[in-house]
Amino acid sequence: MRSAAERACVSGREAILEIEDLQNRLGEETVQREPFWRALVDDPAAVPENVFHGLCAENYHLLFRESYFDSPVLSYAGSTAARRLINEFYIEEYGHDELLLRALSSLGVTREDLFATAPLPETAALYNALAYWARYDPLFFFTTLGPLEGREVEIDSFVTAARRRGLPAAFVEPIASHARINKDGAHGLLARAIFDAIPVVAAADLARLRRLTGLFVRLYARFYAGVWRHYAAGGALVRPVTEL
Amino acid sequence: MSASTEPLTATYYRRPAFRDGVRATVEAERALFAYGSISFDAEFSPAAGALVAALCERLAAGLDADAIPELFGDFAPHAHELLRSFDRYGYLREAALAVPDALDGALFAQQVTAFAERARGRAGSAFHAALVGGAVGARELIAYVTEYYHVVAAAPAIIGASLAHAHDPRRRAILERFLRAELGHDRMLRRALLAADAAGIDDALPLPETFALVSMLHVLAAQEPLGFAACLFLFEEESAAFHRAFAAAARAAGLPEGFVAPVLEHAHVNDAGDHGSITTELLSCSGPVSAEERIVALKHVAILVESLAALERALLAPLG
Repeated sequence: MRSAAERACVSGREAILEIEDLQNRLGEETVQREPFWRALVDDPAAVPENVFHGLCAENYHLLFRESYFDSPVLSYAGSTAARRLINEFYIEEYGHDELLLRALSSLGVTREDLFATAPLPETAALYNALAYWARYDPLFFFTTLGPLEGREVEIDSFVTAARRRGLPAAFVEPIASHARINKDGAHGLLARAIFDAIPVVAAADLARLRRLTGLFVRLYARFYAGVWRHYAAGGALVRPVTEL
Repeated sequence: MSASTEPLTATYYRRPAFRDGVRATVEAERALFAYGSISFDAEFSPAAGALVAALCERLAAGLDADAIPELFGDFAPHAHELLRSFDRYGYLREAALAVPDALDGALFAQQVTAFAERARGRAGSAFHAALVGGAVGARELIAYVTEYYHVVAAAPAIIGASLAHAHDPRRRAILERFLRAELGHDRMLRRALLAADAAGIDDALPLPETFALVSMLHVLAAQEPLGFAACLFLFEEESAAFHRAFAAAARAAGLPEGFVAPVLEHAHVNDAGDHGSITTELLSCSGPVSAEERIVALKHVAILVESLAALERALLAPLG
């Protein structure tokens, strides 16, 4: 017989597998329907080169701020094992923006150019949402690591499309090597490992994780929509705030 | 496929099973798999057909991961390969889920209250004992109110920070009520200190022992909702007996009524706010908590009680 407390909660494993299912289903309806992904998958040759550059730049802006959205969970108190996993991940992840900087340098874009440039609002919306959840709802933040770090299919499609499009190796290879590091480090499985280290997820918390997944998936889709909106129209990679 | 992720996936599930809604159509040399809008197919030799069908059949109810080598023999690596594909497309669930070791929030609240009482009983109250024993003079009384002022002045910022973690309306309502009840209390204690000519309160630093408490509560409010709830008894008012002894000692030390009255007024306000139950109220709506979370929270309570005792000793220590 399970006690009332046991009925009012699930294991971390049960919680993350349920949320993954929801992420997949909602992702099909949103992220994967974005013109960006449709174009990349269906007709990569027609994707403007600027879009490839733009996604790399916006990903750089995101990774440049990795500490914004990872630091609050480094002190996660709910599980020592989960805390160790996220700290190890942060150590591995730190400095990955430099790999993307290498790709962008091949286009003549400098570190200073990128520092002077404000990310697209959709990019900022994503990293601020993540930083908010990391600080105030770490359990939910952990669920987002799956889609964010396990983007094997997405990044593979991006790299494949970029190569097929004939983009120079100096631009594509640093992105491919970042994808490889994530893959070899099994970063896509990090959320599962963390949730295996969280023995109890209260039913009310799981209900909240379910609700917020809908919001996260939309913010994530908006990130790609922003890239398409700005860069498919020929928007600049470098937009110094001082010149706005 | 990356060599390092394959074994992790293969060993993740103890008993993988298809999610409800997965459709597997296995033919002689080909199978089609579908779930929602994601489908893929696999081709294989005629000899493998029966094994693929057997794998899918077992996945309908759940397949013990440990039994795969025995059940599938030479086909086991291919079974794992298929499982990895199923997992990659999100087709699998875990059929062997552990029953969480959890304690209901309300029961944990009782545990915390009993633990805090035991800990406080063990630590005792050096200041209260000194008050009753007539060993507390004007300097110590003013020092007590000064340090108390620092705690009370920090309370709104501390409680305010905890609001961002209150994801359900019940919890938020409790904390909002608590915040409203604490607003402005620093002004009462400030009045008391001004009446006792304790000038310079605005520039004064708290004792390290006081800051230990204040910083702890700030940190818990900002990042550990469970520990924060468990430690809120710090804001609970001292007993009526304490305040009678406080008033008597202050009058005996010749301190003015303007010093005593605001302190008693503050105590009365807190009684009306029924702060005594806030830890119980908050923990009761926290949902079931794991054994590890319980230990982490109880450690905070233990530290808080010991830190309070250290503060009381500091208040009574001769000026160094």
